[in-house]
Amino acid sequence: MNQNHSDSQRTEKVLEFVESIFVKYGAVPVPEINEHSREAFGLRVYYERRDTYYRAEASSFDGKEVILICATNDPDEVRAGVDETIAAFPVSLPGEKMEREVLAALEIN
Amino acid sequence: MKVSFDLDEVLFVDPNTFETEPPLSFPLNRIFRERLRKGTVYLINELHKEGFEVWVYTSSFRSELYIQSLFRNYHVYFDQIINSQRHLKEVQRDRRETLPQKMPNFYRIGLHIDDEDVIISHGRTYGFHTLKVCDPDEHWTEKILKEANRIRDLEEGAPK
Repeated sequence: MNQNHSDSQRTEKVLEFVESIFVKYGAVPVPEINEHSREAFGLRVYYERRDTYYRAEASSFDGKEVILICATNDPDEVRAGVDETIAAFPVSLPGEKMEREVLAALEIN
Repeated sequence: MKVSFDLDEVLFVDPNTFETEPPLSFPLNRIFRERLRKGTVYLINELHKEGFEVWVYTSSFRSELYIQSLFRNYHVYFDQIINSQRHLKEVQRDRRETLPQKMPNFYRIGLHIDDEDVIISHGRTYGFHTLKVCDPDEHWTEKILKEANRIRDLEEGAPK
C-alpha cells in the first residue's frame, strides 16, 4: 500500500478521534458556520462548547506530523476561517494522552 | 487584592538576556515561542497561595485564548486577562478623550507590574500602584511579593 496514503488515512483517523473527544465532552458540531472557508481552504468543522469554537487540524514541523487544536471565541472569526492554535501534540501520541491534551485545550480538568 | 502583570519585557523575555523558565517541548515550542522570565511560575502560584487574584494586563493584541493556553502549559492560571481588545471595549469605549493604554484602577487592581516608564508615571497621575520590572534581577519575585503584601496591608488598614 502506498506509504503516503496509509499515513494520511492514519492522520484522518486521529483527527476523527480528536473530534469525537470534542463531542464526548459536550461540544456541538457547527458545520454551517464556516461552510465557505471549509470549501475554500479545506478547513475541518468547528465544534462549539461554552461559546468557544474548536477545530482540529493536521500539520507538520521539521517533517514530524502533529495535530493542532485551533480555537476562537469570535463567531465572525470562525466564519472567516481565522483562529489561533492553542494546543499541539504529535500525531503518534497514545490515545489516553491525546485525550488529556484535548481536555486541557477544552479547559476541562 | 488584585495584582496584574504586563507581558512583554516583564513575563515574556529574551532568553539571550534573561534566565528563563525551561522551554516548552516540541511541538508546543513551535506554537508558543515566547519565553517566560525565570521565576514566573513560582511567583504567580505563590501570589495565588497568598490569596491574591492574579491578572494579565497587556497592551498586546494576543488573544485571551492564546495567553491562557501558553501559560496553561506551565500550569499557571490567571484570574482575568485584559488585552488591548478588552481594554478598548471596556475602558476606552466611545470616550472622546484617549485614555492611557492601561488603567488598572478601572478594574480595581491593587498593584500593576510593568516595564514602561510611561505606565509607572501614569500610576502617579491616575492613582494606581505600580512596580517597575524590566532588567534582569534575581530578587524580582521577592520584590513583587513584598510590595503586593505591603499594599494589601495598607488597603486593609493593618498597622505598619
